[in-house]
Amino acid sequence: MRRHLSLWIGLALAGSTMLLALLSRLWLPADPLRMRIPQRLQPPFGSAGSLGTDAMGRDLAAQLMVGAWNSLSVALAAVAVGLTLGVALGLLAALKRGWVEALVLRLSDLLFAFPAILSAIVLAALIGGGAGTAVLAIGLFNVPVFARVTRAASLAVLTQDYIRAARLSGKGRFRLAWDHVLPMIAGGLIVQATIQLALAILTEAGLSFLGVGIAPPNPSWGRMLADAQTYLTRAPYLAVLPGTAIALSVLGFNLLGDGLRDWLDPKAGPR
Amino acid sequence: MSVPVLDVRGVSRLYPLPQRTLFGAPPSFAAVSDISFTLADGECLAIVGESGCGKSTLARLIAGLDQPSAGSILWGPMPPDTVRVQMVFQDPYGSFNPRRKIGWSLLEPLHHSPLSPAARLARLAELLSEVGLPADVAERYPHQFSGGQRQRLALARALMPRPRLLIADEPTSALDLSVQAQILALLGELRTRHKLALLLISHNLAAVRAVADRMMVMAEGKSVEQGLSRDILKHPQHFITQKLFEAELALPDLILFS
Repeated sequence: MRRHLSLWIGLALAGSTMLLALLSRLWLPADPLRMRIPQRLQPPFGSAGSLGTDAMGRDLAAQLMVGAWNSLSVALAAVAVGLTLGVALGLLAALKRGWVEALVLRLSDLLFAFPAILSAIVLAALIGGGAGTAVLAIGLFNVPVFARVTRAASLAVLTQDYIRAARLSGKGRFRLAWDHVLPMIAGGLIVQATIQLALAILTEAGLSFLGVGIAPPNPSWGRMLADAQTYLTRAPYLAVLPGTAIALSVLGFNLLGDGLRDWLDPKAGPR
Repeated sequence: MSVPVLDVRGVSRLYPLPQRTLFGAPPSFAAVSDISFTLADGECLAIVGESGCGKSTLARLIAGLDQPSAGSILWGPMPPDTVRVQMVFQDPYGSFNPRRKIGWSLLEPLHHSPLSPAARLARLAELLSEVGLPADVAERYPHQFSGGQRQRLALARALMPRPRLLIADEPTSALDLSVQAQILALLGELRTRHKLALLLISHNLAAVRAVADRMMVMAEGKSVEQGLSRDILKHPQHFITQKLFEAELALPDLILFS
């Protein structure tokens, strides 16, 4: 238990975020979009119950739960896009070498040079904001991360003698990747995906804060933070609640990633 | 004289080095240069030489894992249901995928085989018993075996698709002395039973003496001496061969007096 402390804390934090998100599809304490102006700006645990209301009198607990669903679905979709394309490109680079590898690496450098937030704003200006734009922008910037991790790990696997034995069996490159390389690098990819998920949640919150993420009035943590600015002195809890949600879920997925790495690769040892 | 299984003619493998001058061809390094030999059915040729002399590169070229820069590798007629070549590697720990059961790895060379699943399993059981391991080892993972057992498993895997030629690249150099002798004995036994042509890559002269009919001494990518192994072992002609033998003979003294 102590040995895998970060794994368990991460699992608890990330798990509760996911549970809240899933729960929001089945049950909500109130309609997150219903405005009740007479009951606006109620503090948490006050007369209005649960976690209070925002400047429009909307229920904060319900907004946070739907926000969890929105954040996680954008983050998961973006990481899935990055993982799929990145692993495919990384494997291609490792198996083909030569100019294919050079091209993949230089394209990765190119993508790395632009911060995701900046490009998302450009993308939003070109094709309009919304969840789709956020997925595309964050996903695109996950591609080089996964491409590099996949290439490096695959190259290490491909030097092994069991790969030579498999080639002597007449297996082609893609069969080799499927039978030998992918199972060997899957652990590292899962760790990387978990850490990228934390980053994606943070980036999505940033995009929503700037107004190019999830479209209003659909609740999101980032926009809740942006809306809270006006009332920061009068109702600081409006900022504290979504801020805590972002911080705890990002921390949770990061710890989960670190914990998984220690668990999957005992050689690295606890730091 | 039977038809050769393998006919290697003037094979070279050059590796390009970084460009030194702005114009002109980049320099290259010849890991293998102008090697020729033939290997008859059931014959064993040992290739000996210092580390880095190109013997492993030559093995990869013959196995088809790398392409020669020049020369040709010709194969004799293949009977049905046989494959040209299989390999046993030096490192018994790297030659099996650690995430796959031994049975899976041993069946891998039958990837393109027309055999039915039942026939494959029968062949697996037969070969496991030939290398002296019980049939239930197929359900275990590589880390559950010792180095010697893994080399037995590697031999079984190599023989699964009925190769005409087996290349053994330093098959015993990672093993204990007592295990080395067992694996060499097994290699000799399997060679006779399966009528294998054998290419033994080694720097262990005792192994060569025990198994090889002919030998080739390599230095810096070239063949410096070829002939019957008993002749060369008794009267080495080339100074590199003599140096190699002296080093081997001096080894026990070095261990004793260090």
